[in-house]
Amino acid sequence: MSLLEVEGLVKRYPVRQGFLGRAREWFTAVDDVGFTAERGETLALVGESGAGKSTTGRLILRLVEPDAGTVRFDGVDVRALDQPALRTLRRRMQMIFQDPYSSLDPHLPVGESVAEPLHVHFGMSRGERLRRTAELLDVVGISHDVLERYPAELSGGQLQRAAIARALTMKPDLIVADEPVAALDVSVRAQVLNLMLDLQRELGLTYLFITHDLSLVEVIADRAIVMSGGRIVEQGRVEEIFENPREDYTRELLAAIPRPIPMSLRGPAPQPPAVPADVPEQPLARVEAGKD
Amino acid sequence: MSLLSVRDLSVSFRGPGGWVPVTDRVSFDVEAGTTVGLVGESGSGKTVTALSAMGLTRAQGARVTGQVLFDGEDLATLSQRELSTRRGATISMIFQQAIRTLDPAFTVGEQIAESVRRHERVSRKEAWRRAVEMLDRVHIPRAAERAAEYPHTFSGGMCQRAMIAMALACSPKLVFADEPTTALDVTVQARILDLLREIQRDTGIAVVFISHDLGVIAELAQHVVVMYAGQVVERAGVEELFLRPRHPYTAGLLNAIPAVGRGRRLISIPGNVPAPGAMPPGCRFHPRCPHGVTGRCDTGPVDLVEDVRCVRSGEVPLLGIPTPAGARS
Repeated sequence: MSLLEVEGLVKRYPVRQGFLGRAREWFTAVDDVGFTAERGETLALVGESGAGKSTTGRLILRLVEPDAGTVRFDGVDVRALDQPALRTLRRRMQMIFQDPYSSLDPHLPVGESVAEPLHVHFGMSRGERLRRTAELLDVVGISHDVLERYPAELSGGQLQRAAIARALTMKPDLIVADEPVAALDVSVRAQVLNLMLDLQRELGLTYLFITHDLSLVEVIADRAIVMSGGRIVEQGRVEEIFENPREDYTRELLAAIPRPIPMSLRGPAPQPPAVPADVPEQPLARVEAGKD
Repeated sequence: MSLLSVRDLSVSFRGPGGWVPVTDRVSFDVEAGTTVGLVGESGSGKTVTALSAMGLTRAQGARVTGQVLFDGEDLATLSQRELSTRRGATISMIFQQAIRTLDPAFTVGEQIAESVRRHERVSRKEAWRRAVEMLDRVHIPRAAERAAEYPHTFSGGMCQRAMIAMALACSPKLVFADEPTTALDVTVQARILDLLREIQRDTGIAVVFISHDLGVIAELAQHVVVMYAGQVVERAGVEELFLRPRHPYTAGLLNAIPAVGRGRRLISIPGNVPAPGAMPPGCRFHPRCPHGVTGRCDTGPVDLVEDVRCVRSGEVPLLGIPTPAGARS
């Protein structure tokens, strides 16, 4: 059984309200979306702003109520749950947001924010919370002095690590990560992606990774779903999508990835090798797929 | 003579305990009609350098030393009044958050027309005509209609186009583009980069393109200036820099770009950029550097020698991008 099964998911928003607030026109943000995610895999939801990928993520956690469709998490029909049961289930489905500066409470020391779910969900004592929080900070690789500091004092990379630590407090099975590295520098982006890969290997996490950037998908995901205008336009294994995209829209997304090759060095004519053969010290992760 | 020559530009801001140096003797040249990429992580001093070159940090009370020679004139010695006649007219700037840079209370056309009338003696009607022409030039569909609309009706990419239209309305010779595509979708980014290339081809404008992402720099720049912790650490032509980086930080930035070849781990640069006023002794990058050596890298200031700021320059092998187009297969 798949960890997550989504079927026929629909979300509409009223765009014009008529007399007595009755909607005259509807905007369909998510239109008949269905897929499954297996335990321990990373499924990427890819598309431009407005494609419906964030809404899909929120519908799965029922942060937004769907208009139609079913979401099964570990066999449980998420839409059928009452609020207390939903809260309990949400321990196992956590979310990480794009902007770490706004997803952590600016008035609380970072340690408090990370520990809060332990109090809310498990009613742990202060001592237990501190111990568990310190453990989690070790897991995500930030030093303990961060516990006492406020979000404004930390860098974007540190904050996103703290947000990941907070998500991990519940020992979740599924993490919905909505553009988790879009607000970060390229160098820090690599740190956070590597961390997510490590955590997945160690804890068997399942990720739903939402992004507009296909270059990240290639690094982190096993399978990808390409969305446009609320609908799924293509889905498959990441290698297949990169090597043999079936839809024009996917091709456009692929073509938009900036290539780390200066313009003057591109072009159809093969170039003579310019890098001396004796220098390789670290493999450079890029360009020539799978060949060393 | 270069169009823009930044010489030993140092900027300090007033902190609680006195002046805090933010950039340290930054020097680089920009030739007419070319693009220089200014690259580094957040906190490297890229934006402060650009704002200072335009005289905008001095206006905020920063202490600025050094020269900014633009078209034979030292902008660093001009008064704010004199500078305001240059800004927008001969030297201009595009920012990351276009939607926040546009005034929500005025139509997009009014804002562009206003910047035209500020620098040129033209009628309102003529200024409006220019605004529509500029919007058309940045490929905003139905430019005449869209000019009369307010910024909130524009998408992120459209706002950035409008911003570019405004920056270019008075035909400046140089524009600083500060992360103009960072907040945009990858597809929109690709179109904005196309637009910048097209404008440069048509007008011969010089661009200083600021980014944390060498992948984007590769799309536009002919020359690259790498900054770290307020200092220039490497300067080179773009091909040279990508194929044979000479500073470990440059190599680190190259390695961090997400792979187009699957399955291998990204190589990240551990740690963070040090805060201004808390710089480590010696090479400012050595605490994060895989090639740092105690006794050599952590003592005494390191100078920029032959365009690279590294005492071990030439000793350690640094890997650039593989030579493109399958030459190795």
